[in-house]
Amino acid sequence: MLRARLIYLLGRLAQMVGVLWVIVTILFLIFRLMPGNPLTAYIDPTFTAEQEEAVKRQFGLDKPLYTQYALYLKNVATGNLGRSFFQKEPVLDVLMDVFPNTLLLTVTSLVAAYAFGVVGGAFLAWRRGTKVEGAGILLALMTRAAPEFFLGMLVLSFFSFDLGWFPSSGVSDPGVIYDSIVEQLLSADFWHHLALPALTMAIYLQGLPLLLMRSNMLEVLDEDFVTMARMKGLPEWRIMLAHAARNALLPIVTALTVGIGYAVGGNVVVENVFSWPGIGRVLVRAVQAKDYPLAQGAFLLIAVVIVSMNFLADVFYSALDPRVSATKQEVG
Amino acid sequence: MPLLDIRDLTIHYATRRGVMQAVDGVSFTLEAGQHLGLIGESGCGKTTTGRALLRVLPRNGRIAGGEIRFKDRDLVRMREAEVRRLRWREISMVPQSSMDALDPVYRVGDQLTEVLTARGGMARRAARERAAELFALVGLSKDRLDNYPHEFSGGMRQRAVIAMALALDPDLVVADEPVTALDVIVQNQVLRTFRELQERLHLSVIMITHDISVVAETCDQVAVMYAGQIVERASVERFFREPYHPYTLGLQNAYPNLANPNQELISIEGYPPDLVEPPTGCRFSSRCPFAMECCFHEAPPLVEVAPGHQAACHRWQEVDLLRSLAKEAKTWQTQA
Repeated sequence: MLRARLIYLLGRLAQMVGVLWVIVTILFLIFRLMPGNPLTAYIDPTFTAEQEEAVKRQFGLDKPLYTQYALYLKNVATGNLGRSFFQKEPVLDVLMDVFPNTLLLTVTSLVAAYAFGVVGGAFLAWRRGTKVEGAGILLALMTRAAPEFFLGMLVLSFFSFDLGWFPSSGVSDPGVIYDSIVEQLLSADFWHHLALPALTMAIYLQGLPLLLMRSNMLEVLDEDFVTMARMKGLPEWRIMLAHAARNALLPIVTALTVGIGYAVGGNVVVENVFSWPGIGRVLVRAVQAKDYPLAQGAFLLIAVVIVSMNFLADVFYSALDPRVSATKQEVG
Repeated sequence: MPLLDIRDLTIHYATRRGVMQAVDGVSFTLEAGQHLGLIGESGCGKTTTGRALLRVLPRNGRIAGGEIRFKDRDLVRMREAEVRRLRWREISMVPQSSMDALDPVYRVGDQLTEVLTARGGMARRAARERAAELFALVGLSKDRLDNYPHEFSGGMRQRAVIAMALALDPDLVVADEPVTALDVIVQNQVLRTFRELQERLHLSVIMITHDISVVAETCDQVAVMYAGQIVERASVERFFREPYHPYTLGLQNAYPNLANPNQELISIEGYPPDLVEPPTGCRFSSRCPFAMECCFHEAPPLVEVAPGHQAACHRWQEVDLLRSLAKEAKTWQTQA
């Protein structure tokens, strides 16, 4: 059993590397196939032809495409993502400065959204056919349908401008600088700033797990093993949690992989609404400024986040459902 | 005092088309240690009756009347908390599809231990040992306790579910089609195990089935159900030797008979009536080759046709004629 699971995970890991390679290749091609010269923004119109050539050589753009590709793969593999045109710093450093902010925002809001969705969905299923359920579904549908920038503005105007409970932007009060992530995580100021963007993201994300959990629960409640649990005289809470919810949870984990995609996409918008210094904001700025290396690096990092979170979701799923690694064992 | 005394049990299902009278005035008794076969075709209310004994009905079902006196307490009027305490400790069930009766995400052994600890009040260690004992009882190796349900074959799952039903030494086991989903060879093995357990543990059993060979093999009493009612009730010997009700006669024609293997199998034409609007008179009348005018208007009462043998048929006194006619295939065909 354990060995089968290990083989399954290793296979999944290899698959992940393959997916990343494809992404890297696509990113490489996109930026080279785009019309115009990646250096247009960098090269000043007053440059002479020689100067232009020198710059091109400096960036390796004079070499044939396959050599560029090989170089690019080598650089990416060693963590060299090039230098930002405008910030004149290594792309990796620029990204890593803001990456923790994005990761914290994403993970916090995902966890909050899925925890709320699972509990809320199970509750609605348990209260099936009541007014509470009807109202709950309506609310979930409304929040799920509302665009996140709109949600963000509502949250901002209500909690920040009207009530003044939370700051409207940034990751910390002016002048506060954290020496380490641990320090950042331990500071109340950070969580205070995180609250609104995370809340917005969580509201945006909770509809999917909530509605899914509800319908899964309703389905599972009709299963024979739930009837059997009832016949066994198990207490109601145990039937609901240990049997019904436990089984209804499985598709939620699959949905989580979709949710991660939503979360990262949502990040770009939410980070801009709340001026949250994260990858999404860097990306938007890099694109506006035609800072190709930075944009490329940001895209790559986002892809890495999505792919590795998917991997984690799979690991989680195989731990939750004993049937997963067993089927793999039969196939492999 | 009988272990179980069901009186005039009536169960309704709320359906889109109206109220369905799934069980209509069913009465029977079961003495401790007896094995009663509840036989009939699908949809006749056997399973509903069985589930009513645990008061676990589908959401749209409710007990509309009657009494279920078990050890002289009326289950129908019992409070939910009280019923819950009684479930599995006093009455347990081997459900229809053992395939789906086990929770797929837990090890089979853990599911056994769950019921032993949560309902039997045992400590984990003791429960673990008891689980191994139960597995041995139904012919499963205790190494299998750590397997998940999907790692079991159909027959093994059925055995595991039987072990589960016996976990808390219940007074009554309701076995609902326990072998229907299995292939014939495995059916026989599981049935044999079950019969041995019946005798060894002096179980009282209600065996719900549509297969009269299962009844022949595991039961000493039979109740025949048709369209939500009991139409005949007898000992197994009398059921096979001297059946009274035309439906019972038809049922026996439809199954191969070991004593007379060359006998042609005859099926009963038509379908059971719609229980949302049940017919007046005898519910079998529309399919009965012997139906007379009065059968369509007046429901026949369940009468004592011999000591310990009841049947609900207006023509029970002409039973010799009916039996001889029932053996001919053309009797049943004319009805079509």
